[in-house]
Formats: sequence, structure tokens, C-alpha cells
Amino acid sequence: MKKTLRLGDFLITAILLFAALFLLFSPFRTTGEIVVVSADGVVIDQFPLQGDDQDFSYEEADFSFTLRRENGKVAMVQMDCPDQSCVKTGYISLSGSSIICLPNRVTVLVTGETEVDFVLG
Amino acid sequence: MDNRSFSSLSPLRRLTAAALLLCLGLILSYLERLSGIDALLPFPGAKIGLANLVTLFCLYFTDRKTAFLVLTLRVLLNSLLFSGFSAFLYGLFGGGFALLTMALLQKGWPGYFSFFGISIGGAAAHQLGQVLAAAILLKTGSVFHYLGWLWIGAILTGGAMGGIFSLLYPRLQRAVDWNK
Repeated sequence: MKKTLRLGDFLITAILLFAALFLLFSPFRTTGEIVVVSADGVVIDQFPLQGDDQDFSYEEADFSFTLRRENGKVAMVQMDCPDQSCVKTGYISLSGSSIICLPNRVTVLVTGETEVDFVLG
Repeated sequence: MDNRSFSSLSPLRRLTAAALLLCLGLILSYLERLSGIDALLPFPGAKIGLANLVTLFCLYFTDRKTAFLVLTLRVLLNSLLFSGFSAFLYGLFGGGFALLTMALLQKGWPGYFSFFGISIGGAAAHQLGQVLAAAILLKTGSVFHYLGWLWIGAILTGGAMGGIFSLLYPRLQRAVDWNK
């Protein structure tokens, strides 16, 4: 009865697909300039994406983590969390990309702004 | 049996059914986590959403009140048993958005959606809810670009769940008799 695919199915799939592609590809036109590291919604560090290959280690109350800047990209190489999806994210460099650790509430955002002051809510 | 006759059953039967479905949802959620199947998906943090099968069942074999009740309690118990407050927020937003969207698609445009579309819509809404919860908890808008990957995954996992449910549906129609 409801096993055959219908119009609404195709519509919703198409809408989602277009929305997903838009979300993924439209802000990503430029390589980012600044890496913004936040813990619990508070910016704890900012550093330029360009520069010598270097590791950035951070110690928070319950955990520590390390970012690596290499070849104009940044990646999470170590994080104290059971999930490790942030580590699996790999290197990012495009403006708007981010690496996020949900359990520890850490975000690493690449932005094109030279001065960062973003607030949401 | 269909969901119109469910509402006419005695409160005790409806409560018992809801309790059973609640347990089923919890078990499915636990099995999904235990099996580690989510790690196979290429997108970090993506889920197959087995427990949404229970939500689908509620929408088609019980009434909406029961579906809402089962979902809310499942999310609450899940977070109490297995993790903390943030899990509760994610579950609530995710599950809540999913339920509302699926109920809307089911009733709002009858005939335009098969199980696949409803399941995909539910998966996408689930993710939107969770990303929203993440944006609130992390206090940043940067999480929204993950929706791009997540929604591509939603098309796949929603489709898979819809497929599973469409295979189950005829058997469920024969097997489910609320008057037993």
C-alpha cells in the first residue's frame, strides 16, 4: 500500500539534497584565515591558519586536546573523549568549516574574518 | 487493526501497549549503540535511528497521543539511563522534531508520501533538532554546516528505515491485534 515511492518522497529528497549541497558548498569559496578555538561557548584561542607547522595543545578542566596546523590546514590530532569523531574529521581549511567535539563542547572554527566576535543567542 | 480503533480501547490496554513500545524503543536504541553500527557511516555523529521504527509504528498503529507519550518517555529514560542532560536535550529536540514532522507528513498530505518519504523527513527533522540543540549548547552557529552532510545521510538512513518499515508493515497488519 505505502510501499511504492510517491511524489512527496521525491520532492522531499530533492529539497533535502539541494539544501544539503547549498549548506556544504556555498560558504566554502575561500580558504580561511583564522582558526578560532572555543570551549563551552567561550573563545579560548585564535591563531592564523597560515604559519609554520605547529601543534597547539590545550588543557581544560576535565580534558585536554591538541590541534595540529600543517600546510595551511588544521586538524584535531588528540582529544580526550570516547567518541573521537572530531579526530576523524581530519584536516579542514575552508572558511566556515569546523571541527566539533560534542561531549566536551569544543569547537574549532575556520573563518575568513581577521577579527572574530561572533555570538549566537 | 488501524489507529482509529486504537483510541477506543480501554486506557489500561493503551497504557500497556505504550509501555511495551517504550521498552522496545529503548532496546532498539541500546542495540544500535551497542552494535557500533553507527561508526560505519561516513559522517561523524550520524545515526541509523532504529528507534524511529517504533515512532513509525506508533503513528500507524496507535494514536498520536500515544506516539508523543512513547517518544517523550523514551528520550527521558534514555538520557537518564545512559547519559546526561545534554543527551536529553539532543534526544528531545531530535525526537520531537522527528515526531512532529512525521505526523505532519502523514496527516497533512495523505497519499503523497510513502513510508520512505515520511521516514526521510523524520530523519532530517531529527538531525535539524539535534543540530539546533548543539548550537544552543555550544553557543555557536558553526554547527549548521554539518547539516549538509547529515541530511545526505538522512536521505540514506531514512530511506533504509522506511524500507524496513514497509517490509514489516504487511506482517504487522496481520499480526497486530489490540484486542488480544
